[in-house]
Amino acid sequence: MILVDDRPLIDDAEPFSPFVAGLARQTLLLQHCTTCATVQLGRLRCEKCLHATFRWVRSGERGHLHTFTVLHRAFHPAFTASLPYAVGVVELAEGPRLSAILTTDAARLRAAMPMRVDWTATQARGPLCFMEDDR
Amino acid sequence: MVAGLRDLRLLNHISANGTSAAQMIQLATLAIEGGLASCVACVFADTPLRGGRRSGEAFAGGGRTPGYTGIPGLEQANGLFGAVASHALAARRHMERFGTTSADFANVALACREWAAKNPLALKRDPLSLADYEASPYVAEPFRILDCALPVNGAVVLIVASADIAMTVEHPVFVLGMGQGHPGNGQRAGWDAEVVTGAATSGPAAFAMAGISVDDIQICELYDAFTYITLVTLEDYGFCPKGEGGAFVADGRLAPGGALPTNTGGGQLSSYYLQGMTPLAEAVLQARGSAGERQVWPHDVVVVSGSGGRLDQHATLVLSPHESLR
Repeated sequence: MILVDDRPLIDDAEPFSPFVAGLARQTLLLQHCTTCATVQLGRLRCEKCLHATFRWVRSGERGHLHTFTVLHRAFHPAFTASLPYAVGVVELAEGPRLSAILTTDAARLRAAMPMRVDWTATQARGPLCFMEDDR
Repeated sequence: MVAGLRDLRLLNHISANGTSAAQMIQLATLAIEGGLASCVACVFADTPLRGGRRSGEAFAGGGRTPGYTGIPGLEQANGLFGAVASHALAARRHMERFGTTSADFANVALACREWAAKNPLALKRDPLSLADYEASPYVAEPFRILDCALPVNGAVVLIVASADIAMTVEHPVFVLGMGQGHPGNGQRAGWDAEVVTGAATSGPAAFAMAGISVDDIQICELYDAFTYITLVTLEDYGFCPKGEGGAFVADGRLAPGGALPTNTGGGQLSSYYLQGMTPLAEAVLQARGSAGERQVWPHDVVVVSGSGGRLDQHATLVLSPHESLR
Protein backbone atom coordinates (compact mmCIF):
# COMPACT_ATOMS: atom_id res chain seq x y z
CA MET A 1 0.00 0.00 0.00
CA ILE A 2 1.34 3.41 -1.00
CA LEU A 3 1.01 5.93 1.81
CA VAL A 4 1.67 9.67 1.83
CA ASP A 5 0.95 11.53 5.07
CA ASP A 6 -0.55 8.22 6.22
CA ARG A 7 -3.16 8.30 3.46
CA PRO A 8 -3.47 5.34 1.05
CA LEU A 9 -3.03 6.39 -2.56
CA ILE A 10 -3.85 5.04 -6.00
CA ASP A 11 -0.77 3.37 -7.48
CA ASP A 12 0.59 5.60 -10.24
CA ALA A 13 3.28 3.21 -11.44
CA GLU A 14 3.33 2.01 -15.05
CA PRO A 15 1.25 0.91 -16.82
CA PHE A 16 -1.52 2.66 -14.89
CA SER A 17 0.04 6.11 -14.50
CA PRO A 18 -2.25 7.61 -17.21
CA PHE A 19 -5.26 6.90 -14.96
CA VAL A 20 -3.87 9.08 -12.16
CA ALA A 21 -2.75 11.72 -14.66
CA GLY A 22 -6.32 11.71 -15.97
CA LEU A 23 -7.82 12.22 -12.54
CA ALA A 24 -5.44 15.16 -12.03
CA ARG A 25 -7.05 16.77 -15.11
CA GLN A 26 -10.55 15.78 -13.92
CA THR A 27 -10.97 13.16 -16.63
CA LEU A 28 -11.74 9.48 -16.07
CA LEU A 29 -9.69 7.30 -18.45
CA LEU A 30 -10.29 3.66 -19.36
CA GLN A 31 -8.18 1.09 -21.20
CA HIS A 32 -9.34 0.22 -24.73
CA CYS A 33 -7.75 -2.95 -26.11
CA THR A 34 -6.18 -2.06 -29.46
CA THR A 35 -6.80 -5.61 -30.69
CA CYS A 36 -10.42 -6.37 -29.76
CA ALA A 37 -11.66 -2.96 -28.52
CA THR A 38 -12.83 -4.33 -25.13
CA VAL A 39 -13.06 -1.50 -22.60
CA GLN A 40 -11.61 -2.30 -19.17
CA LEU A 41 -9.56 -0.97 -16.28
CA GLY A 42 -6.73 -2.35 -14.18
CA ARG A 43 -5.56 -5.01 -16.61
CA LEU A 44 -2.02 -5.82 -17.70
CA ARG A 45 -3.49 -7.95 -20.47
CA CYS A 46 -6.87 -7.69 -22.13
CA GLU A 47 -9.41 -9.65 -20.11
CA LYS A 48 -10.96 -10.92 -23.35
CA CYS A 49 -8.16 -11.53 -25.90
CA LEU A 50 -5.04 -11.38 -23.66
CA HIS A 51 -3.20 -8.91 -25.87
CA ALA A 52 -1.25 -6.32 -23.88
CA THR A 53 -1.62 -3.11 -25.85
CA PHE A 54 -4.14 -0.52 -24.77
CA ARG A 55 -5.15 3.02 -25.61
CA TRP A 56 -6.36 5.23 -22.76
CA VAL A 57 -9.69 6.73 -23.78
CA ARG A 58 -11.87 9.17 -21.90
CA SER A 59 -14.92 7.65 -20.23
CA GLY A 60 -18.37 9.20 -20.43
CA GLU A 61 -18.03 9.26 -16.63
CA ARG A 62 -21.56 8.03 -16.11
CA GLY A 63 -23.04 4.77 -14.99
CA HIS A 64 -25.14 3.26 -12.25
CA LEU A 65 -24.68 1.88 -8.77
CA HIS A 66 -24.10 -1.90 -8.64
CA THR A 67 -23.83 -2.25 -4.87
CA PHE A 68 -22.67 -0.28 -1.83
CA THR A 69 -21.86 -0.38 1.87
CA VAL A 70 -21.73 2.21 4.62
CA LEU A 71 -18.65 1.78 6.79
CA HIS A 72 -18.98 2.45 10.51
CA ARG A 73 -15.50 1.26 11.45
CA ALA A 74 -12.30 2.54 9.94
CA PHE A 75 -9.87 -0.19 8.97
CA HIS A 76 -7.24 2.47 8.31
CA PRO A 77 -6.62 5.52 10.51
CA ALA A 78 -6.81 7.89 7.53
CA PHE A 79 -10.57 7.27 7.35
CA THR A 80 -11.50 7.54 11.03
CA ALA A 81 -12.53 11.19 10.75
CA SER A 82 -14.80 10.42 7.78
CA LEU A 83 -16.97 7.82 9.54
CA PRO A 84 -19.54 6.79 8.58
CA TYR A 85 -18.85 6.89 4.86
CA ALA A 86 -20.36 5.08 1.88
CA VAL A 87 -18.34 3.10 -0.63
CA GLY A 88 -19.88 1.55 -3.70
CA VAL A 89 -19.20 -0.33 -6.88
CA VAL A 90 -20.22 1.77 -9.87
CA GLU A 91 -20.84 0.14 -13.24
CA LEU A 92 -19.82 2.55 -15.99
CA ALA A 93 -21.91 2.75 -19.14
CA GLU A 94 -18.85 1.38 -20.99
CA GLY A 95 -19.02 -1.83 -18.91
CA PRO A 96 -16.19 -1.81 -16.34
CA ARG A 97 -16.94 -1.45 -12.64
CA LEU A 98 -15.03 0.78 -10.23
CA SER A 99 -14.99 1.20 -6.51
CA ALA A 100 -15.77 4.75 -5.40
CA ILE A 101 -16.64 6.79 -2.37
CA LEU A 102 -20.28 7.85 -2.70
CA THR A 103 -20.94 11.45 -1.73
CA THR A 104 -24.73 11.21 -2.12
CA ASP A 105 -26.73 10.96 1.14
CA ALA A 106 -26.36 7.31 2.14
CA ALA A 107 -30.05 6.94 2.97
CA ARG A 108 -30.87 7.61 -0.69
CA LEU A 109 -28.53 4.99 -2.16
CA ARG A 110 -30.10 2.17 -4.17
CA ALA A 111 -28.74 -0.24 -6.75
CA ALA A 112 -29.33 1.00 -10.30
CA MET A 113 -29.20 4.64 -9.15
CA PRO A 114 -27.65 6.71 -11.99
CA MET A 115 -24.19 7.91 -10.99
CA ARG A 116 -21.56 10.35 -12.23
CA VAL A 117 -18.10 11.37 -11.06
CA ASP A 118 -18.11 13.93 -8.25
CA TRP A 119 -15.14 16.04 -9.28
CA THR A 120 -15.50 18.38 -6.32
CA ALA A 121 -14.47 15.55 -3.97
CA THR A 122 -12.23 13.44 -6.23
CA GLN A 123 -8.46 13.78 -5.91
CA ALA A 124 -5.76 12.69 -8.36
CA ARG A 125 -4.32 9.94 -6.14
CA GLY A 126 -7.73 9.11 -4.69
CA PRO A 127 -10.29 8.96 -3.42
CA LEU A 128 -12.40 8.65 -6.56
CA CYS A 129 -15.89 9.90 -5.74
CA PHE A 130 -19.22 9.36 -7.44
CA MET A 131 -22.59 10.95 -6.78
CA GLU A 132 -26.18 10.53 -7.90
CA ASP A 133 -26.59 11.68 -11.49
CA ASP A 134 -29.78 13.71 -11.41
CA ARG A 135 -29.36 15.02 -14.93
CA MET B 1 9.92 -30.59 9.39
CA VAL B 2 9.79 -28.13 12.27
CA ALA B 3 7.68 -30.65 14.16
CA GLY B 4 10.52 -33.14 14.02
CA LEU B 5 8.80 -35.29 11.44
CA ARG B 6 11.27 -37.10 9.20
CA ASP B 7 11.23 -39.05 5.98
CA LEU B 8 7.80 -37.81 4.90
CA ARG B 9 6.55 -38.97 1.52
CA LEU B 10 4.33 -35.95 1.06
CA LEU B 11 4.73 -32.32 2.17
CA ASN B 12 2.74 -29.35 0.96
CA HIS B 13 1.49 -25.93 1.86
CA ILE B 14 -2.07 -25.26 0.70
CA SER B 15 -2.83 -21.58 0.35
CA ALA B 16 -6.34 -20.97 -0.96
CA ASN B 17 -7.90 -18.64 1.62
CA GLY B 18 -11.11 -19.93 3.17
CA THR B 19 -11.12 -23.01 0.96
CA SER B 20 -7.72 -24.23 2.23
CA ALA B 21 -9.01 -26.62 4.89
CA ALA B 22 -11.45 -28.40 2.57
CA GLN B 23 -8.82 -28.43 -0.16
CA MET B 24 -6.33 -30.09 2.21
CA ILE B 25 -8.76 -32.95 2.77
CA GLN B 26 -9.43 -33.21 -0.96
CA LEU B 27 -5.76 -33.29 -1.93
CA ALA B 28 -4.87 -35.69 0.89
CA THR B 29 -7.65 -38.03 -0.23
CA LEU B 30 -6.42 -37.95 -3.82
CA ALA B 31 -2.80 -38.44 -2.75
CA ILE B 32 -3.79 -41.53 -0.78
CA GLU B 33 -5.95 -42.92 -3.58
CA GLY B 34 -3.06 -42.30 -5.99
CA GLY B 35 -0.60 -44.21 -3.83
CA LEU B 36 1.51 -41.20 -2.89
CA ALA B 37 0.83 -41.57 0.83
CA SER B 38 -1.14 -43.73 3.27
CA CYS B 39 -1.73 -41.28 6.08
CA VAL B 40 -1.75 -37.47 5.82
CA ALA B 41 -1.89 -34.90 8.63
CA CYS B 42 -3.85 -31.81 7.56
CA VAL B 43 -2.81 -28.98 9.85
CA PHE B 44 -4.21 -25.47 10.24
CA ALA B 45 -2.92 -22.94 12.75
CA ASP B 46 -3.41 -19.20 12.98
CA THR B 47 -2.74 -16.37 15.44
CA PRO B 48 -4.71 -13.40 14.13
CA LEU B 49 -5.05 -11.93 17.63
CA ARG B 50 -2.04 -9.95 18.81
CA GLY B 51 -1.50 -7.69 21.75
CA GLY B 52 -2.57 -4.10 21.16
CA ARG B 53 -4.78 -4.95 18.20
CA ARG B 54 -8.55 -5.32 18.23
CA SER B 55 -9.99 -8.55 16.91
CA GLY B 56 -11.87 -6.68 14.19
CA GLU B 57 -8.56 -5.49 12.79
CA ALA B 58 -7.19 -9.00 12.44
CA PHE B 59 -8.46 -9.52 8.91
CA ALA B 60 -8.84 -5.89 7.87
CA GLY B 61 -6.47 -6.37 4.97
CA GLY B 62 -4.20 -3.42 5.56
CA GLY B 63 -1.67 -4.94 3.19
CA ARG B 64 -1.65 -4.50 -0.55
CA THR B 65 -4.67 -6.58 -1.44
CA PRO B 66 -5.46 -7.01 -5.13
CA GLY B 67 -7.89 -4.49 -6.48
CA TYR B 68 -10.99 -6.28 -7.67
CA THR B 69 -12.51 -3.04 -8.91
CA GLY B 70 -10.26 -0.72 -10.84
CA ILE B 71 -6.53 -0.21 -10.64
CA PRO B 72 -4.07 -1.07 -7.83
CA GLY B 73 -4.56 1.06 -4.76
CA LEU B 74 -7.95 2.46 -5.81
CA GLU B 75 -9.92 0.46 -3.25
CA GLN B 76 -7.60 1.43 -0.40
CA ALA B 77 -7.62 5.09 -1.50
CA ASN B 78 -11.42 4.87 -1.32
CA GLY B 79 -11.31 3.45 2.20
CA LEU B 80 -12.40 -0.02 1.11
CA PHE B 81 -10.46 -2.55 3.18
CA GLY B 82 -10.75 -6.17 4.09
CA ALA B 83 -13.24 -8.95 4.09
CA VAL B 84 -16.05 -7.27 6.04
CA ALA B 85 -16.52 -4.49 3.49
CA SER B 86 -16.20 -6.73 0.43
CA HIS B 87 -18.73 -9.24 1.77
CA ALA B 88 -20.99 -6.37 2.85
CA LEU B 89 -21.01 -5.22 -0.77
CA ALA B 90 -22.04 -8.72 -1.83
CA ALA B 91 -24.76 -8.95 0.82
CA ARG B 92 -26.14 -5.56 -0.20
CA ARG B 93 -26.26 -6.69 -3.82
CA HIS B 94 -28.37 -9.68 -2.75
CA MET B 95 -30.69 -7.39 -0.75
CA GLU B 96 -31.10 -5.03 -3.70
CA ARG B 97 -31.76 -7.81 -6.20
CA PHE B 98 -33.95 -10.11 -4.17
CA GLY B 99 -35.37 -8.09 -1.28
CA THR B 100 -33.35 -9.96 1.34
CA THR B 101 -33.43 -8.13 4.69
CA SER B 102 -31.30 -7.68 7.79
CA ALA B 103 -33.84 -9.83 9.63
CA ASP B 104 -32.89 -12.69 7.29
CA PHE B 105 -29.23 -12.30 8.24
CA ALA B 106 -30.29 -12.15 11.90
CA ASN B 107 -31.97 -15.54 11.54
CA VAL B 108 -28.62 -17.04 10.50
CA ALA B 109 -26.83 -15.47 13.48
CA LEU B 110 -29.54 -16.49 15.96
CA ALA B 111 -29.54 -20.11 14.80
CA CYS B 112 -25.76 -20.27 15.30
CA ARG B 113 -26.07 -18.92 18.82
CA GLU B 114 -28.66 -21.54 19.71
CA TRP B 115 -26.26 -24.24 18.59
CA ALA B 116 -23.32 -22.60 20.38
CA ALA B 117 -25.18 -22.85 23.70
CA LYS B 118 -24.75 -26.62 23.35
CA ASN B 119 -21.03 -26.47 22.48
CA PRO B 120 -18.61 -26.23 25.42
CA LEU B 121 -15.88 -25.00 23.05
CA ALA B 122 -17.95 -22.11 21.66
CA LEU B 123 -16.90 -18.59 22.67
CA LYS B 124 -20.36 -16.97 22.58
CA ARG B 125 -22.91 -19.11 24.38
CA ASP B 126 -25.18 -16.53 25.97
CA PRO B 127 -28.72 -16.33 24.51
CA LEU B 128 -29.17 -13.94 21.57
CA SER B 129 -32.48 -12.30 20.62
CA LEU B 130 -33.46 -10.39 17.50
CA ALA B 131 -33.48 -7.23 19.64
CA ASP B 132 -29.89 -7.94 20.75
CA TYR B 133 -28.90 -8.40 17.12
CA GLU B 134 -30.58 -5.18 16.04
CA ALA B 135 -28.93 -3.29 18.89
CA SER B 136 -25.44 -4.44 17.96
CA PRO B 137 -23.33 -1.83 16.16
CA TYR B 138 -22.78 -1.74 12.43
CA VAL B 139 -19.32 -2.54 11.07
CA ALA B 140 -20.06 -2.22 7.36
CA GLU B 141 -23.75 -2.06 6.48
CA PRO B 142 -25.66 -4.30 6.24
CA PHE B 143 -23.29 -6.16 8.58
CA ARG B 144 -23.45 -5.58 12.29
CA ILE B 145 -20.80 -6.98 14.55
CA LEU B 146 -23.07 -10.01 15.12
CA ASP B 147 -22.95 -10.78 11.36
CA CYS B 148 -19.18 -11.30 11.62
CA ALA B 149 -17.07 -14.23 12.75
CA LEU B 150 -15.05 -14.37 15.96
CA PRO B 151 -11.29 -14.53 15.25
CA VAL B 152 -9.31 -16.68 17.68
CA ASN B 153 -5.80 -18.03 17.96
CA GLY B 154 -5.77 -21.78 17.58
CA ALA B 155 -5.03 -24.87 15.59
CA VAL B 156 -6.81 -27.94 14.27
CA VAL B 157 -5.37 -31.08 12.75
CA LEU B 158 -7.26 -33.74 10.85
CA ILE B 159 -5.78 -37.08 9.84
CA VAL B 160 -6.73 -38.52 6.45
CA ALA B 161 -5.82 -42.17 6.01
CA SER B 162 -6.40 -45.02 3.61
CA ALA B 163 -9.59 -47.01 4.23
CA ASP B 164 -7.75 -50.04 5.65
CA ILE B 165 -5.98 -47.84 8.24
CA ALA B 166 -9.14 -45.83 8.97
CA MET B 167 -11.12 -49.02 9.60
CA THR B 168 -8.82 -49.81 12.55
CA VAL B 169 -9.99 -46.77 14.52
CA GLU B 170 -13.33 -46.16 16.18
CA HIS B 171 -15.86 -44.16 14.17
CA PRO B 172 -13.97 -43.36 10.98
CA VAL B 173 -15.47 -40.73 8.68
CA PHE B 174 -15.47 -41.22 4.92
CA VAL B 175 -15.04 -38.64 2.18
CA LEU B 176 -17.75 -39.48 -0.32
CA GLY B 177 -17.70 -36.42 -2.52
CA MET B 178 -15.69 -33.31 -3.23
CA GLY B 179 -15.87 -30.31 -5.49
CA GLN B 180 -14.48 -26.87 -6.10
CA GLY B 181 -15.72 -23.77 -7.90
CA HIS B 182 -13.69 -20.66 -8.60
CA PRO B 183 -15.58 -18.38 -10.98
CA GLY B 184 -12.99 -15.60 -10.82
CA ASN B 185 -13.88 -12.01 -10.29
CA GLY B 186 -14.70 -10.14 -13.47
CA GLN B 187 -16.11 -6.87 -12.27
CA ARG B 188 -17.91 -5.66 -15.35
CA ALA B 189 -21.44 -5.45 -16.73
CA GLY B 190 -23.31 -8.73 -16.69
CA TRP B 191 -21.21 -10.23 -13.90
CA ASP B 192 -23.05 -11.02 -10.66
CA ALA B 193 -20.64 -13.20 -8.69
CA GLU B 194 -21.78 -11.52 -5.48
CA VAL B 195 -25.03 -13.48 -5.62
CA VAL B 196 -24.07 -16.61 -7.61
CA THR B 197 -20.83 -17.88 -6.09
CA GLY B 198 -18.42 -20.75 -6.75
CA ALA B 199 -20.68 -22.84 -4.52
CA ALA B 200 -23.08 -23.21 -7.46
CA THR B 201 -20.42 -25.30 -9.25
CA SER B 202 -18.67 -26.84 -6.28
CA GLY B 203 -21.73 -28.13 -4.42
CA PRO B 204 -23.45 -30.02 -7.25
CA ALA B 205 -20.08 -31.52 -8.30
CA ALA B 206 -19.53 -32.88 -4.80
CA PHE B 207 -23.10 -34.14 -4.49
CA ALA B 208 -22.84 -35.94 -7.84
CA MET B 209 -19.57 -37.62 -6.82
CA ALA B 210 -21.24 -38.82 -3.60
CA GLY B 211 -24.29 -40.01 -5.54
CA ILE B 212 -26.65 -37.85 -3.50
CA SER B 213 -29.14 -35.10 -4.15
CA VAL B 214 -29.56 -32.03 -2.01
CA ASP B 215 -32.58 -33.69 -0.36
CA ASP B 216 -30.31 -36.39 1.08
CA ILE B 217 -28.23 -33.91 3.09
CA GLN B 218 -28.96 -34.14 6.80
CA ILE B 219 -26.44 -31.68 8.25
CA CYS B 220 -24.70 -28.61 6.79
CA GLU B 221 -21.45 -27.24 8.15
CA LEU B 222 -20.90 -24.08 6.14
CA TYR B 223 -18.13 -21.52 6.12
CA ASP B 224 -19.87 -18.56 7.76
CA ALA B 225 -17.38 -15.78 8.30
CA PHE B 226 -20.42 -13.56 7.63
CA THR B 227 -24.12 -14.42 7.92
CA TYR B 228 -24.63 -13.76 4.23
CA ILE B 229 -22.21 -16.53 3.22
CA THR B 230 -24.48 -19.14 4.83
CA LEU B 231 -27.53 -17.77 3.03
CA VAL B 232 -25.94 -17.57 -0.41
CA THR B 233 -24.25 -20.98 -0.06
CA LEU B 234 -27.58 -22.64 0.76
CA GLU B 235 -29.06 -21.08 -2.39
CA ASP B 236 -26.11 -22.06 -4.56
CA TYR B 237 -26.16 -25.62 -3.23
CA GLY B 238 -29.77 -25.86 -4.40
CA PHE B 239 -31.62 -26.04 -1.07
CA CYS B 240 -33.89 -23.28 -2.37
CA PRO B 241 -34.23 -21.24 -5.57
CA LYS B 242 -31.83 -18.34 -6.12
CA GLY B 243 -32.98 -15.28 -4.22
CA GLU B 244 -35.15 -17.18 -1.73
CA GLY B 245 -32.45 -17.76 0.88
CA GLY B 246 -34.01 -15.22 3.21
CA ALA B 247 -37.29 -17.11 3.43
CA PHE B 248 -35.41 -20.41 3.61
CA VAL B 249 -33.45 -19.51 6.76
CA ALA B 250 -36.57 -18.22 8.56
CA ASP B 251 -38.56 -20.01 11.26
CA GLY B 252 -35.56 -21.71 12.81
CA ARG B 253 -34.93 -24.04 9.90
CA LEU B 254 -31.16 -23.99 10.57
CA ALA B 255 -31.44 -24.01 14.39
CA PRO B 256 -31.67 -26.94 16.83
CA GLY B 257 -34.85 -28.85 16.05
CA GLY B 258 -35.08 -27.29 12.58
CA ALA B 259 -35.43 -29.17 9.31
CA LEU B 260 -31.84 -28.49 8.19
CA PRO B 261 -29.41 -28.42 11.13
CA THR B 262 -26.65 -26.05 10.03
CA ASN B 263 -23.43 -24.97 11.72
CA THR B 264 -24.25 -27.16 14.67
CA GLY B 265 -21.28 -26.08 16.79
CA GLY B 266 -22.26 -22.43 16.55
CA GLY B 267 -20.37 -21.78 13.35
CA GLN B 268 -17.66 -19.22 12.90
CA LEU B 269 -20.22 -16.65 14.03
CA SER B 270 -20.68 -17.93 17.58
CA SER B 271 -18.11 -20.66 18.25
CA TYR B 272 -14.69 -19.73 16.88
CA TYR B 273 -13.15 -18.64 13.56
CA LEU B 274 -10.38 -20.94 12.46
CA GLN B 275 -11.28 -20.48 8.82
CA GLY B 276 -12.24 -23.69 7.00
CA MET B 277 -11.36 -25.87 9.97
CA THR B 278 -14.37 -24.61 11.95
CA PRO B 279 -17.02 -26.28 9.76
CA LEU B 280 -14.76 -29.23 8.98
CA ALA B 281 -14.01 -30.12 12.61
CA GLU B 282 -17.70 -29.89 13.53
CA ALA B 283 -18.63 -32.07 10.54
CA VAL B 284 -16.24 -34.80 11.68
CA LEU B 285 -17.72 -34.73 15.20
CA GLN B 286 -21.28 -34.94 13.83
CA ALA B 287 -20.47 -37.70 11.32
CA ARG B 288 -18.82 -39.73 14.08
CA GLY B 289 -21.83 -39.27 16.33
CA SER B 290 -19.63 -37.72 19.01
CA ALA B 291 -21.04 -34.19 19.13
CA GLY B 292 -22.54 -34.63 22.59
CA GLU B 293 -25.55 -32.53 23.52
CA ARG B 294 -25.75 -31.07 20.03
CA GLN B 295 -25.54 -34.37 18.14
CA VAL B 296 -27.93 -34.47 15.18
CA TRP B 297 -29.76 -37.66 14.21
CA PRO B 298 -29.52 -39.04 11.61
CA HIS B 299 -26.00 -38.02 10.65
CA ASP B 300 -25.33 -40.16 7.60
CA VAL B 301 -24.74 -37.31 5.14
CA VAL B 302 -22.86 -34.18 6.24
CA VAL B 303 -21.88 -31.41 3.84
CA VAL B 304 -18.94 -29.06 4.50
CA SER B 305 -18.16 -25.84 2.65
CA GLY B 306 -15.19 -23.51 2.39
CA SER B 307 -15.44 -20.01 0.96
CA GLY B 308 -12.53 -17.74 0.13
CA GLY B 309 -11.52 -14.47 -1.43
CA ARG B 310 -14.64 -12.45 -2.09
CA LEU B 311 -16.96 -15.41 -2.54
CA ASP B 312 -15.00 -16.21 -5.72
CA GLN B 313 -13.39 -19.35 -4.29
CA HIS B 314 -15.33 -22.34 -3.01
CA ALA B 315 -14.76 -25.96 -1.99
CA THR B 316 -17.21 -28.66 -0.85
CA LEU B 317 -16.93 -32.01 0.91
CA VAL B 318 -19.54 -34.70 1.51
CA LEU B 319 -18.69 -36.71 4.65
CA SER B 320 -20.36 -39.80 6.08
CA PRO B 321 -19.81 -42.44 8.74
CA HIS B 322 -20.53 -44.98 5.98
CA GLU B 323 -18.04 -46.09 3.35
CA SER B 324 -20.87 -46.10 0.83
CA LEU B 325 -24.44 -44.86 0.92
CA ARG B 326 -25.68 -47.57 -1.44
